[in-house]
Amino acid sequence: MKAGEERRPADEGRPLGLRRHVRRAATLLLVAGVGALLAVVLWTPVPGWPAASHRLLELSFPVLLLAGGALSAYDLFLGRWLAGELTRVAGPRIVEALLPHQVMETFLDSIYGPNEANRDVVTGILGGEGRRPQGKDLTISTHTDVHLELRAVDEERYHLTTAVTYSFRKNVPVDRFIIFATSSALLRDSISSGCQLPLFELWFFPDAENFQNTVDEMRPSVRLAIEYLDHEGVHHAAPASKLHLQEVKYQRWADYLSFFREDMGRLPRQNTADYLGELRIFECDLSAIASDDHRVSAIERLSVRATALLSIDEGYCYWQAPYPCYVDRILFTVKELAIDGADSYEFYIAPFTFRSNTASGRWLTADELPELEVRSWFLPGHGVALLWRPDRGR
Amino acid sequence: MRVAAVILGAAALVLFAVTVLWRDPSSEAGGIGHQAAAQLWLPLAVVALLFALYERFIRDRLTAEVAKIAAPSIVGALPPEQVMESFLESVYGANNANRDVIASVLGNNLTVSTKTEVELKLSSVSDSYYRFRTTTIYDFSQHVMTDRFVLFVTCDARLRDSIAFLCDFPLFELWFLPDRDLLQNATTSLAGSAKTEMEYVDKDGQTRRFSWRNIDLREVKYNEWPRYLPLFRDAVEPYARQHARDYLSTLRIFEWEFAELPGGPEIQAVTHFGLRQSSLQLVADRFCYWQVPYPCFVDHIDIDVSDFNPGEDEWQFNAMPFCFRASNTANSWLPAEQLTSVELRSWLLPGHGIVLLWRPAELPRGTL
Repeated sequence: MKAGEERRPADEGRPLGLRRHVRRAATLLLVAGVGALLAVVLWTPVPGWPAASHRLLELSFPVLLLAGGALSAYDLFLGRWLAGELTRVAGPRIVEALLPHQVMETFLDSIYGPNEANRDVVTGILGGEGRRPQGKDLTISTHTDVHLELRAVDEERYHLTTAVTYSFRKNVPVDRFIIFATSSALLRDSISSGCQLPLFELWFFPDAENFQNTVDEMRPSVRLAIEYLDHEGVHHAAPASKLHLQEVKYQRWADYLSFFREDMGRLPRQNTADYLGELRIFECDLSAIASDDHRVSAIERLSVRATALLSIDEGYCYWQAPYPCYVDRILFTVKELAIDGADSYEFYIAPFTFRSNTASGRWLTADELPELEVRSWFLPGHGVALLWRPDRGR
Repeated sequence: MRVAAVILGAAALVLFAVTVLWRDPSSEAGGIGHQAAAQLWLPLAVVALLFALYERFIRDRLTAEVAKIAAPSIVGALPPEQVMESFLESVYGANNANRDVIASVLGNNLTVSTKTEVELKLSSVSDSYYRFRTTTIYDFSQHVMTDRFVLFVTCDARLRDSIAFLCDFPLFELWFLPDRDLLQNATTSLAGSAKTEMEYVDKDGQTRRFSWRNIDLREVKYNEWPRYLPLFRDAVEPYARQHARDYLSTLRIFEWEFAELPGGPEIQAVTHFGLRQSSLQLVADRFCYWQVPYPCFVDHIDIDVSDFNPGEDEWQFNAMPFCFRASNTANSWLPAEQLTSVELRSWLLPGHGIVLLWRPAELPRGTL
């Protein structure tokens, strides 16, 4: 009761009145109980009605005392505790007690209206499904560095090396790293929500014809460096190393992507056989790259580097965040896109972000291209595109 | 709670022991004590057991149940900023940049468009220039309470970043023109070309509607800018307070007050708002883009490049969406007649958008 009074002073008439009644009842019961006890002890009745009353008093005094005691206890401690308990369960802190996806779903339904597409926003903001307490299934990178390096191979093709370092907010309890490579735009958009393993990289090559070749060429270029905790909780670092990427057979795809098992929101269950030519999944056991035969139990920091062979006349490349990432900076190394003495290029950075800070909004030469100090959150879908065109000033 | 359970349990045990061990109380008072013990131990034990059970099993389940039942109303009743703020802090950790996420999810003053139609039309004017016409039509889930539409035009990238999060008026549009000369010379004609369509509730609660018509955009003088952007009044993290006069050559603000509308000047809410504007751009830029100003659910984006044919080249186009999902996008270079629409069926938050790129179809080797 007291807690109630403190919280709502305007409403104190009713609780106070009630409280007075409770106190009076408790006192009455206690007095009656003690009276009955005294009567039982001090009164030696004669047989007949008095003896029967004595027996009645003898039987009833513990009940009266117990009831009085319980009421007093309620008045003194229990009521306050109960109110506290209710506040704890149902107050604003409920937001913290709820599962992340419950909060976000409820919240988005209330401001966006019910919509299947809210689910994408929920997983996008959470970096996972948010179905485990304390955000244990969420992948969120609080410090992210991105480096895109473009290097011409010949006059038509170039190597795009993407190196990204993620530092995770909560250690990611996983010992496997997955790479999804797809040429299907539908899969590209669904993999982030459908993948239940928190650490993954997504390669998207829209060119279906060269898909298999591109992936095969890119596969050996993958380098991973990790900082991790072993099973005893001891911190270790494993430097960048070449790794053994094992291809996952299509019969097991359903273990990796939920939409091969069941409907996912609006997306009906997909059949793995339909994607044989459009999807490849690779996995890597992180314990294998850990030094000294440690077994990896959680990842603190992850650096991924991969190189793709692409066509220069595409005129653009881009990086998009796979899960929520606070990006510190994005660095472009583009000088070698032009082979010595041949055409040089002008570049344009088109940021698709909350903030871009240093983006200039102009076509720049390779020397002028700044390092982007972004310092902003990227949600999935946010990213940065780098465009180029022949430098007509030369 | 645990302590109470232990004390009560111990008391019950003692009383039980008294009842059992002390079989033959010699005095009458002893008999009464025995009687009291015999009657009290069981209720005390039951209470102790209840306490222990609550603590051990029921409490968490109760919390979860109450949370499930009460969450929608509680989360719905709390101010949205408060929910998002405490929630994001628990998920992302404390970070100043969380504010951007909050503002972008909530929209400026809860401006959220649940049905958004977008059309991008490119038509060439000469070999070097093309006309870029964008048409966006928003349907607002929560009616937007405002008395004006505000248009910001800037060539300052930092200012562009801040305006979306800082504008005090819920209905606004932001144009980013990278070129300073273009900003000064072309903006007035650009603003003059703007057309709107609108549905609104007038002060008598009557719904009114008009379709595409020119609007009278008035330029806001720089000494009034602080009313439109808090950045010119106070420091707003991460920026120090800015002085309007430092941005004379990089920012222009226009507004259209709803005073002239039938049923105005005080209208209750805007439920539907369409804006069409066009501008001249350079073909050599090789791309154009569109981004959302507030959270918008976009079903698809119509693209019309059939009249884009500068010079003698054939052109190819590529639409690259930046959003949560873009189901049917081919992400490949297509001739004009094949690129007519991009299906998104997705929420776009500020920063999300689409880039449209073009290049000559036949590429002489090595020259791009």
